[in-house]
Amino acid sequence: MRWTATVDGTEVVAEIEANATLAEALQLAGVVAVKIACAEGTCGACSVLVDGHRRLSCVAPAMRLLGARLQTAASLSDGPIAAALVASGGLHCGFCTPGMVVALHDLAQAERPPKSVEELRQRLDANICRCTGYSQLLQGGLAGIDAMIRQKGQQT
Amino acid sequence: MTRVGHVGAATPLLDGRAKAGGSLPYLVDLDVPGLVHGAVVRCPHPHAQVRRIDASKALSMPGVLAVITPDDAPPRDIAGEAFYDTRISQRPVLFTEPTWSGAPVAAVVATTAAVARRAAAAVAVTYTPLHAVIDLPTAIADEIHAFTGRSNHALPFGPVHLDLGDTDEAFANAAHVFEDTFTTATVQAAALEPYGALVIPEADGGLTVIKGTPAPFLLREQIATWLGVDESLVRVQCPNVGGGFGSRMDDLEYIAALLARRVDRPVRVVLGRGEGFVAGRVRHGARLHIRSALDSAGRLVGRELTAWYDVGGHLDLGPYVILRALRPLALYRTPNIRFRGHLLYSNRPVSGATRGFGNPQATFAVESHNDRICRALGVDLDHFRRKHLLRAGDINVSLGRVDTTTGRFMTGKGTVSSCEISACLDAVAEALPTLAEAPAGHLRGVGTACGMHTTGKGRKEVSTAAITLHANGTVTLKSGAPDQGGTGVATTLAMIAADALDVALESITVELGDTRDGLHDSGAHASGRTYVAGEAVVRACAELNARRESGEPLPITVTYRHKPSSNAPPFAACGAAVSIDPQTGVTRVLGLVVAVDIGRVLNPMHARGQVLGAAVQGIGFALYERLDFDADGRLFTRGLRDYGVCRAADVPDIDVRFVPSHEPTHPLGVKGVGEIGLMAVAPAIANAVANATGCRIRGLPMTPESIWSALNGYSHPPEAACFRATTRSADQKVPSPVGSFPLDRGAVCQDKTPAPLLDAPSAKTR
Repeated sequence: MRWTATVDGTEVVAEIEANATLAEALQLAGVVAVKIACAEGTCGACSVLVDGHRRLSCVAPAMRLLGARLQTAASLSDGPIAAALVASGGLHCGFCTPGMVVALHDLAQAERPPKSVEELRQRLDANICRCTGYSQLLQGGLAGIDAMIRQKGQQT
Repeated sequence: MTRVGHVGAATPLLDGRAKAGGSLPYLVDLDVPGLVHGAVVRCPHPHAQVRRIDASKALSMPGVLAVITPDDAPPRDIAGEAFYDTRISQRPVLFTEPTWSGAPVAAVVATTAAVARRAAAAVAVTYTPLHAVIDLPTAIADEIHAFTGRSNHALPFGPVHLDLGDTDEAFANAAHVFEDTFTTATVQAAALEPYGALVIPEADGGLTVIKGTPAPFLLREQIATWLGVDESLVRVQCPNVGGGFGSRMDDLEYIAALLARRVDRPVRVVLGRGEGFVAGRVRHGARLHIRSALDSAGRLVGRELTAWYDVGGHLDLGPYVILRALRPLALYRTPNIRFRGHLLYSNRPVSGATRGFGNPQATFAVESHNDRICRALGVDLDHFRRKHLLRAGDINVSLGRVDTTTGRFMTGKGTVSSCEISACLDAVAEALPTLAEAPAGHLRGVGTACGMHTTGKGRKEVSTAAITLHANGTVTLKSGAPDQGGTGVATTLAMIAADALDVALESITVELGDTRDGLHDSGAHASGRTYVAGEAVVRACAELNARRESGEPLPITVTYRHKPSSNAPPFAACGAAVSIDPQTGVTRVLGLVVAVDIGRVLNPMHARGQVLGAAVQGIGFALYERLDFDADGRLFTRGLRDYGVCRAADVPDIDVRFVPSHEPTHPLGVKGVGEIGLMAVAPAIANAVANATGCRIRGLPMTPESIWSALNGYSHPPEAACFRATTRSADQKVPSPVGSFPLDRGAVCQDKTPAPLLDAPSAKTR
């Protein structure tokens, strides 16, 4: 069946099966910034923002999100979090990274964003990285969150 | 000359921004005109005979294009491979006698991936289950292997072996003899990107294979041989890879190639996660028996390591993998060494290359054993190590040649060109007191370990670089070396070229891992690409500079083929602090320091990342990771949820230290960094657990139950890591497994009480 959504401000279309997950639908629609690694909601690589909140697209039914407005890492790639991850060495193979960027963005938007590397370590609990060993990822992630909060503070 | 000076400076990955924004395409993102999708039918039984395959239902499903069975799948002729089981000259692509649960027996191609998966499930296969060996203890005990019908040894002559000096004599005259048996579980690299392959049939009868292989040129040769076509008709391209760790040599491309040829369209096969656990390569599960002889002054006079590595359903690289068990033996200067490396078939997933390549298992055994010896003798471990550790100029006994017809390994004259292991130990000693304290009521312990690995495979290595300096000042750098995802080869090679040619990093375009240009490269393995491919770039740039200076007009292209003459070992020392909840046995790593000698550090940021990532995989190997099988030999690790990949909250902030070092065999002074960070982590954690509890856990992973059992005085056999069970069909007569393996000693030894110290050892050795 025909599935449509607005992804990063662009209308996308895919021909999907009724029980397809959001991640599968996005993949069929040619969205590359959403990665499927575990397909069971364990690793966070497929994270997207739905109404500003992080969702694991590999366990979300696509038809429930028909016509939804989604944001992926692609629209965050010029943001402070992506920049900080690159600058800190917080990414290697890059397969988990779009999901990490989305998850970190979600944490930065939280009512109480993480204030320390140790707090971020505990709260980045839905995402797996197999390459980096996390240290540089967490440092970069925290720096990115801080930068984003500062940016927002300047805007308001 | 060095205006830019990238080498030595922290440099972010060139493709970092593309990765962070998700715009970098991986295999699954590639859009090829006419692409259709494959799925694999896998045998659920660990060992069976395929009786009948009924594809009629699958073929009747809308969108299904074809189904292939073993009749359509010519086997691969592996007799050309240098070191293999000479009794089995062919390896099936689709199996009529599947030898592990998950072996491919048929494949489907359909217009969408979802239809292909459903159709694969609809292919009705009738099996006759056969006798299966589903754990290593049984494989060791069984005399006859079920599917070879002969010895269960994967090599017809038995173990690969090394004898240095007179080990029997050393043990006969020793003042102290110690022995231990250790085990390690079957684990998988579990790279985050699913395993897969894409094959495009070309008009000239050839194929383009897009696959995250670590060795595109080797794969091209293997596929051309299999198809009986000239190598020029096969192109292998390594795309962006979501993590490799060696484990992508999974043979999926053969199935994709058959499907692509059948329907004459491009076919992509991408595996689900559970399927990836049985179809991708796993790290050899191992049992290791180690004996050491010491004289009255506490000097190591003899050592004997007998290793049994589980190769799984067929042999893949096993002989080379098990020879890496020599590294931790070579790390300590010992006059008499005996090594026996047994490779045993089982009906488990196929073991192959995995980060560390056979070394982490043996390093765990040797370093745990060293700690045990020193505790028992009451001598200082650090002192013991420094007395015996390898130094620059010493012969590295793990380097040499193996006679592939007898399995005899002959140590060569290769010496250690640079070695700063002592400085690594200093760095660990300095950092150890800074590691965190345990929560109240928990046991805290610290432990250390050392490790040695390799940088490439020495004379077997080759790498070719083609560098073009264009008239507009930009540079195109091509190398046959692939970038296995996070290794950062592209960035490293670009940094080297930028400095050598005195151009900006941004002006360099890097193209890697494509056989089309014929830039032969032996592959991204053994931590060797910076050392091997990096030197090819250095040499090519030097020639390019010379031609430029002689007035040759731009553009200039230089192609340089480099063959290294040595493989410099990198070294590591690791210190770990653990906290154990005595009520539950749950163990956490409080802090970890890894000090490495990797020669000159080209990119401190990324080198640190490599060590960090490897160390965290080492933590997983030590405490969490294990593929679990049920009593019928089927994997019940179905997804990442069931598998102990470390999350951020599972690991501490790791202290990585680089000791000053310069490798004289390389123009830039570098050694390998990809694997060494993993090597010493598991034994350091095991030694910390022994320090905290007074109990020696001899099986990895050290689960809460094994630690709790040890704390409460229950013997926890090392085999607990793998289920001890066999299945066999009623009509089959097979020798019953020997009840208990003769080398099984007390699995848990209270280090507080005197360890078994055999004062007058018998000369009986294997």
